[in-house]
Amino acid sequence: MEPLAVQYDILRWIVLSPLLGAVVISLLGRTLPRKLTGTIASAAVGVSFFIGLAAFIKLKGLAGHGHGEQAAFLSDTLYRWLAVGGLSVDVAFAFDRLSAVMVLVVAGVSALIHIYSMGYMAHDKSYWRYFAYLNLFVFFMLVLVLADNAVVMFVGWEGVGLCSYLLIGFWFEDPEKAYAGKKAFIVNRIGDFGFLLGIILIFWTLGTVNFNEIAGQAPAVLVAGGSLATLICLLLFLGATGKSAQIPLYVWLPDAMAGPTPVSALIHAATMVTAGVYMIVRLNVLYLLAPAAMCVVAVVGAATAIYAASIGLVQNDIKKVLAYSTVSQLGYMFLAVGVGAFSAGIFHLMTHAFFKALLFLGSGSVIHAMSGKQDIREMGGLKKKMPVTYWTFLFATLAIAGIPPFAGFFSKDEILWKAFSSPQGHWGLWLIGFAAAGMTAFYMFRLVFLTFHGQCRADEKTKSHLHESPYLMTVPLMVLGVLSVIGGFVGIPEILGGGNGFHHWLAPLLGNENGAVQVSAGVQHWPHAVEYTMIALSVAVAVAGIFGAWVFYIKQPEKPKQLAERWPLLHQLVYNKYYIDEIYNVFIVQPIKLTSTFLLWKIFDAGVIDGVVNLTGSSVRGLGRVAARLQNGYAQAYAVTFLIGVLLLIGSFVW
Amino acid sequence: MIALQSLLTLSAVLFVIGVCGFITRRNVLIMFMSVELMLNAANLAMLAFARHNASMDPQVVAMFVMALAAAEVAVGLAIIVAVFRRRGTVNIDDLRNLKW
Amino acid sequence: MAEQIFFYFFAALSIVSAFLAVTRKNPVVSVVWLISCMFSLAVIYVILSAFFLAAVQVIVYAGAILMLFVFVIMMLNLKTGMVGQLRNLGLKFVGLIAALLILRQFYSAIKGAGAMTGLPPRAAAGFGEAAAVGKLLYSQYIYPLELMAVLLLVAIVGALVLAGKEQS
Repeated sequence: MEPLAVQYDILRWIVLSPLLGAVVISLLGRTLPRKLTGTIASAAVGVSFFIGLAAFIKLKGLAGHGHGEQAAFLSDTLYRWLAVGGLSVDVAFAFDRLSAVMVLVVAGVSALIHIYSMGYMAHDKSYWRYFAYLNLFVFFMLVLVLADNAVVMFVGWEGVGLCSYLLIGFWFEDPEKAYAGKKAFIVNRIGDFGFLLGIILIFWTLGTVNFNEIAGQAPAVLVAGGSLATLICLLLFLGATGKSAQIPLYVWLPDAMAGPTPVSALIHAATMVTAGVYMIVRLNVLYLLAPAAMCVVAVVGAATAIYAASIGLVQNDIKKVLAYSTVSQLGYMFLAVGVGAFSAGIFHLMTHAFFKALLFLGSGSVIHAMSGKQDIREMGGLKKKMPVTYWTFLFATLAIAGIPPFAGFFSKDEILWKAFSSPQGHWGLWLIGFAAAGMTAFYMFRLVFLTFHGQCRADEKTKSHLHESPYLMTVPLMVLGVLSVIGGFVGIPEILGGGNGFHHWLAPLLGNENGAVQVSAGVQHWPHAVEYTMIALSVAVAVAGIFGAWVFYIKQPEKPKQLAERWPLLHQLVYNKYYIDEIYNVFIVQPIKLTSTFLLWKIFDAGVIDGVVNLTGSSVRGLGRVAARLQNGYAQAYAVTFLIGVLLLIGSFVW
Repeated sequence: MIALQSLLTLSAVLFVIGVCGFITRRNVLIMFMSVELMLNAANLAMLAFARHNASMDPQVVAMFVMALAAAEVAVGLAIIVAVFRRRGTVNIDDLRNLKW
Repeated sequence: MAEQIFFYFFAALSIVSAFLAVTRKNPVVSVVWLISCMFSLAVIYVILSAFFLAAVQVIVYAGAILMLFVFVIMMLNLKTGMVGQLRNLGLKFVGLIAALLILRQFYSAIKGAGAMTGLPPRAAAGFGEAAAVGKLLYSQYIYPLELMAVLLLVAIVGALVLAGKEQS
């Protein structure tokens, strides 16, 4: 059944408002006063958020009882972009229940981070360039989540990649930062290539790129579990691993921390990196037709979750710890969608956006206070000096560790439960997620203890500068802090007395819930006792992680060193991130460079391509020389040519 | 009684004489006169049809053709004079600078 | 009958004059033969009852255009032999063949149209009279007429600019 589409004209302004902001700032930013530039940028995103809110209320009003009404969405078509053969692409936006969540999260968190940036970037010399990029990013991100077909989504997808590149390399005078930007862009290109191939394959098999039509036709056209469906899903997942930093393409995200901290919070924690999860949930109908691909997604997600968490245990750069934590949490989301718990994945995406943005902004506040230092070994005891930062940071840490009733508890617990209980789940997946949860609690509290507790290890000069951040920065922290505490309440599971409203809100869009697609045979019903045990276990492991961190970094600070000395090889391996960058360099980057230099450049480019180009040129020139003989300057020769033409023309009528 | 075909044949013959003159003569002036001849041949055909169909409009068009011919001759002869001043020739075969 | 005799006589005269006009060596002689041809055509126009056009033919062609030719020929003061040697004979031969083939095509076209059709013995009332043509010119064809006036003006200015004294 086709969902009901309701025309809603102001939808386009959700997207156009940040674009307008970006245009105004990039044209006039150099001349406008700094405060005004920041205000324009924040207001542009604020407008998006409030229109999104209005659309959300309107969408809520639409929802009746029938299935068609529940899956109803608001739509707004700007114009037909291209129509070639069977392919027709409209620049159109669709605001359904999934987009609604994404728009509110993206625009809301973006608005807070814009406000925060006004304080954080206040002294930067390229202030206006920063806000122009940031607004442009929000524009592309909203295009991505509002797109009503895969091609427009791809535009947003590429656009956020571009903005990410621009913002990682924002301080491009530093070659290392410029390199990090390039690395992010190139690694993303590999994923984007897969994503594009996936879109092409979808169009080739289904004849459409519109999401609603894909959802409607896929079950009829594609064989469930068939190789075609699996191939499409794996290609799309390749795109997701690039954008959302999963194994094997996660390597760019830790380096992306070279950008300004609010950028890390916005792009590399809350919004862009979750695009892969969003895309899979958006195309959940396809994934449900490809159980093998879902299995790959789940395994890659679980592996990434524990792998990145283990690296996070020993990092000393405050932002690097958070970066690996982000990779790990994204792994959780993929684990969720991989076992078919799409709503749990989006739920965690939302709560993660709150607390991870808060963690990054808090770390930004710390870095700001520490005069730019990022090494946690030089920090400590900041609790007294920066109370707001400390308390909000602590809330976010409790949330990510999964302590009830903070937001992260509900979403993470739901993922772990689904990994265990859902038909596509497996106790092995659960065990990995469980272990990663313990590690998460450990390394996050290690971060808190080293940064805020104990003695301050900074030098005197830095110490004297320590101060709480200005209101522009602390107010967004507080707002996000509140969200990190209460954000999980929208999805309290039924067993804990909640209605799991979040799950029901998304349910009409998810293939296996409405019965339109049913691949999973026989949902097993688990006794309540099992579920209670699971919840107790995940809380216990989080508490154990926190306790471990307390023992290691407060009670017996000499312990970590001893451990590292006892197993030096293991410590070195993990500390150097399993040497993955070096392995990629030797086995992928260098061979590609050599092939490029010797085969592609010297032989293929210089020989074949240039040869073909030169041949084209010289053959046209030769032909031109022959044709030029016709233009010999004799007027009567032209007249005779003309006459012969007339002769043939009349001849075609007369004879 | 005059047949329509006789008039058209006369027109065709005059036209082809004009074409031959235009193609074979070297003197730009005579080529120009050949063009006039062709225009007149066309006019004649037009009038023949006008008479045959008892229509007035072709006469108006014929008027325009004559006005056009006058304009063309004025400009064309001016060009010939200007060229002759500069190059000292009216031989079409000597005027072939406009080429590759 | 007299009409037919007149027609054939002047038709023959116009063909002969045209032929001589394009074949004479001396341009002045050519112009004179051309005047003869135009005049014969004017007579044929009269036979066709197009009196106004016949008058315009004599005044504009014989009177104005060909006089302009004569003036230019005198101004350039061309002498026989000044034209230079004959070139591109092959090309001209091909052109002649093509021209004759076109004549052949015209012939088939005229012949293929059907049996000989005589013109109506009497012209329609007012056909070819100055008043009727004038009325049409200044009513239905007023815009083309005005445009033609502009064209002539431009031609006059252009001719002055092109043939006037050189500035340097």
